[in-house]
Amino acid sequence: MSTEKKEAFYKDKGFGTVVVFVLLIIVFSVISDAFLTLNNIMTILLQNSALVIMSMGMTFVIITGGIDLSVGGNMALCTICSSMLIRQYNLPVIVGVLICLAVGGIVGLCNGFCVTSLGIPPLLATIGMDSVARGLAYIICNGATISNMPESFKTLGRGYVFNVIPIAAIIAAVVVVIYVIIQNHTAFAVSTYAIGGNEQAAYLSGIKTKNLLRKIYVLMGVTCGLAAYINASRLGVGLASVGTDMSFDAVTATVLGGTSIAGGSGKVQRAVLGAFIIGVIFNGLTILNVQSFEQQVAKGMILILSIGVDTVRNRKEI
Amino acid sequence: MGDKSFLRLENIAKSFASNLVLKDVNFSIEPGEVRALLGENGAGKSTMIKIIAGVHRPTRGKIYIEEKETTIADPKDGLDKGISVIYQELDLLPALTVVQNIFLGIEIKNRAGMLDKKRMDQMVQEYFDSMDISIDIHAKVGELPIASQQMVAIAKAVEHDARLLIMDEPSSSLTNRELEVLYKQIRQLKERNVAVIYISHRLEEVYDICDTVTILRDGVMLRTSKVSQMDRHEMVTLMIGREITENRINMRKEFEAPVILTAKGICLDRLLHDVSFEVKKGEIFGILGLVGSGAIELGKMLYGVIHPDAGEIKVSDKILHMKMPADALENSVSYVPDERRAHGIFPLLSVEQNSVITSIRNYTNRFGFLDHKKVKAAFVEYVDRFGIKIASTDQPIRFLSGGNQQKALIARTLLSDTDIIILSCPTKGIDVGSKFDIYSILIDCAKQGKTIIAVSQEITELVRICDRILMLKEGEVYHEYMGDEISETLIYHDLLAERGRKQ
Repeated sequence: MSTEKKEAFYKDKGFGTVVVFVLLIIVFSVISDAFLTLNNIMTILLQNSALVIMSMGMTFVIITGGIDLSVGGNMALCTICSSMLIRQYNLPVIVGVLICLAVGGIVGLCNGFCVTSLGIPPLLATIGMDSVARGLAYIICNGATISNMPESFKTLGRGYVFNVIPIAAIIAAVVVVIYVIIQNHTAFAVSTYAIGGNEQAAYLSGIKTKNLLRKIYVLMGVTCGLAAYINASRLGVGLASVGTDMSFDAVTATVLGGTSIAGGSGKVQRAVLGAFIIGVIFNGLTILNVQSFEQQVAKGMILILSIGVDTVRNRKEI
Repeated sequence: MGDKSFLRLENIAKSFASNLVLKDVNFSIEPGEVRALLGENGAGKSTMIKIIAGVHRPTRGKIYIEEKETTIADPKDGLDKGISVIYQELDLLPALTVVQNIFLGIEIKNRAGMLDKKRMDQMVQEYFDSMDISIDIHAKVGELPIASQQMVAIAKAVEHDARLLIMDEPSSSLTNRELEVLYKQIRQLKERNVAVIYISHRLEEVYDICDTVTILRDGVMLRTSKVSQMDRHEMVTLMIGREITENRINMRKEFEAPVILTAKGICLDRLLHDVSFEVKKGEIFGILGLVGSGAIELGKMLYGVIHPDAGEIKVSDKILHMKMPADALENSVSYVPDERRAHGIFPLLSVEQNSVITSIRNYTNRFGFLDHKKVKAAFVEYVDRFGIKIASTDQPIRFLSGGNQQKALIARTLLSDTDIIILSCPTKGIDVGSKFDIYSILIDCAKQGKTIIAVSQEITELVRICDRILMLKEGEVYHEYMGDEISETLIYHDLLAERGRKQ
């Protein structure tokens, strides 16, 4: 019984994340008057929409015990492909989004193929794919910025509902809701947890493990495509240099949210919190005029700390 | 016996939780003595070895090495004190060469601090030559056949100056010729005054190579005597103990039904040779075989985990070409693995999710969403029927006892509603009470028309529940027992008998 009580305590890791989040907000609002304003809150929501969307897909990948470090390069490729086509043919928003989803999905499928059929460890397969995708993005646009985009291109990233709530934030919220439903109510999700917890047992239980893993990497790619579109739309131009920190941030957000890097457990809604912890820290530091170099140090330390906590927790459970 | 023992155990007892597996064991072995350790599965042999090797600490009792009281803290400590164990699953490093494995941790260095490879090569080669072993000393161990790996393991123990070498069923995967080399190695160990504990199920080997024999049953040391002073019948009777009552739970004498599964001419590498049999619908069919007999592999093959080199498997007159377990399930075959922790349970998931995982797609509504109520209802039915002890359906399965975990896994196969259920070592590592629960569950299932295939190395268990038992030896069918032949004594004698097919 005592082990189960301990279990309950560690399960409250979600609670710990909430405490950290609230503390951060209190600290920053005490230090700066500019922090807790409606305007700034909406800015934080907008700035982190892409990250939130990305961390949904990432959570599923990490639950399987894998990781996807190609999302930065994938974003670049999605951005360049869609923005060039949109500018060329003056495509409507929805078509632009679909192009992003398709390109992202294809990159995801390649990841899934490398991980399952070739048996390459996800870490290495996706690092390789990151370089491939970004390189392709640069080749396609020849290193140039895709500017002079049609006005409609900027709707999702810069538009507001009632002049207050960013459209991007609403899209992110919808994605989160969809993911929570998938996570809680589908056989797909149960099988995902099963693979992460014990891949051999999953295979012996009749789960087509390779098939399922491929789907999860494709899904990651698709969410990456959506994030890419929103990000590009916010910038208003297509850049092959976007998302260099994205895989780092998405993994950090997911792990901060308590998803174990060892696989088998985790919750998408907690990754949202993880994403906003990162967002709040950088927003706060920027308001306080802290240089981006220091921010970089802070970022690295957050990742190491959160993974360190996760590792210690895993050790205790054994 | 002499007064100068190398190792002596005094009143050693060991319990796991409330389960007492060794009771006041007194044991001693002298240098140069070859001792056979006999006992059925679960008699406590491996626990005893693990205590000697330092893997387990005894709950009670004292250990003496050369008559000095000592403790063996861990396997490294055991090695330092001269105790080497060769487990059935050899713990050699497959990617290293023979020489590297043998000298692992005791590498010889020259004056410059570099490895003295010449010297090590020479020592190994000399030893191999003296043994008439022809193994390439620079071959990667993983590429050698099991028999050669075993010789490397022994050579390793020799170079590590083992004073006591414990061999856990060393012969289970050896051919007769390889067995001769093994004997030779043992005789040489004896000359070097190394004590040997030899564990085997084969009595002829005990007479061939051992000086003395110790028999364990139910954690009690029953008898130690010279091999020459105990005949075969006496050994078997002591090992089995029990008044040899045929305590069958399955009361069916004969069982007739149409054939549901046929295996024909199954071959697998060196493990299975031309194995054929038929299983009837609603039958409890036992596949009996020791480690190395290919029984476990045969079970996995029927479930599509491994693929035969030749032969065919037919279910309900349809030839199966299974690439993976999912294909077996589609053909109404399910499986409970022998390695419950490694291959069976999802430790982080709830006991409910663990049970429904295979059949989970049956509980989705037309939008593809899970009907949680339906899932729970289906699972709870088995909680009641099997008496699974859980705090709640959300309880992670890793907190359950082995017996309850196993019941949950059986529930998994029943929830997936297949006609045929294969169980590999159905009661491995679970307590006696749960064992009987599982026996009655299986008999119940068979009565309801499920076909049960139980793969096991425990004769008692198969005799209790099976309608027919197929014995495999060295990957070949030895005999198929049915009706009055299903007798523990008879089967046990056959299991210990010489190799080759029963006439």
